[in-house]
Amino acid sequence: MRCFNVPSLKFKEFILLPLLLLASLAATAQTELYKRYASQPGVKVASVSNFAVDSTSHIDVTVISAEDDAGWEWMKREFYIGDLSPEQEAGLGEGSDVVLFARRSRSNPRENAPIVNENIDMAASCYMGISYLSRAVYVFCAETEEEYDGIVALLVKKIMHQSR
Amino acid sequence: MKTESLQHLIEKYREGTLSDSELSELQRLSHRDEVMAAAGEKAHSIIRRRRQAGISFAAAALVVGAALWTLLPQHREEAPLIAETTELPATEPATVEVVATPQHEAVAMAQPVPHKAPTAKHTVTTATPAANDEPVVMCNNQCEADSVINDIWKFLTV
Repeated sequence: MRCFNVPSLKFKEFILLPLLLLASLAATAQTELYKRYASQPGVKVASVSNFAVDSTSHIDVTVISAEDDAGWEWMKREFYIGDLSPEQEAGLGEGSDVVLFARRSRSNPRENAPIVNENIDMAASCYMGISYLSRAVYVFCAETEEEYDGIVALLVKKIMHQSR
Repeated sequence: MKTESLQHLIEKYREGTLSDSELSELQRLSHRDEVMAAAGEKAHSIIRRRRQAGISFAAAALVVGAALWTLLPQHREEAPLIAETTELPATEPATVEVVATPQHEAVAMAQPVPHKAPTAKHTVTTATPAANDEPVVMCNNQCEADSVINDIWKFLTV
């Protein structure tokens, strides 16, 4: 257990300050993602706040797509996207997509999703979908478990559709 | 045999028919019995002390062992909120069935990217089904907000 020596803070401040810090980080995570990649050459970034997955789920989505080969190579290094097999490359040429999903840190998709008590910290993590065909990365950030359920339901439906 | 003779002598002593030789024998036997009893008590006390010492030693060994166990580095409780970044995963396409496979890959930490203000910002009012609130889209490179939302829907549903 790491100990923090904060003798000048009272108990309420000690509890409230981290909560306020986490809340502010969650609110600005989408903007931070946008700012992180907006200046990257060869990459196009779009951040959508309040995207309606269904009638009750509104989540934040950041789309990072490559404008050229150099941008796609940079994205593969940035997000640890592996190369496809020759068969999969041939499938891409015929128009069939290869999609990957991963759980990453919300503030920095380069890092693993943070773990708290052996579980993924939902408030600090996001779903990341990678489309090889469109050379794009979709980062989905939700605030509640119900909102994540909505996005996961769509992703599962997509997986089932592709596996047919 | 000794017990029977001693009992017999005691009975004769109570009856008052004990001879001098028998009295001396009774004294000898009773004295010997006391010595035996004392020896037995001493042996018992030695065993008891050794047993207590053994229990104390075992308890001390348990305490020391528990202390050493908790002091071992791999048993220290780590703060779970700190994300370790020495080993990062990679998503590797295994099959077309959409599987995210972790792959060990030594990668340096993310280099700080110079931030700049968004070059364009659009506000969209439609294009999402059952949307009660208007989504706000931030784009760079003059992208179309509607096409971004349609692109997300295409990714999720097609």
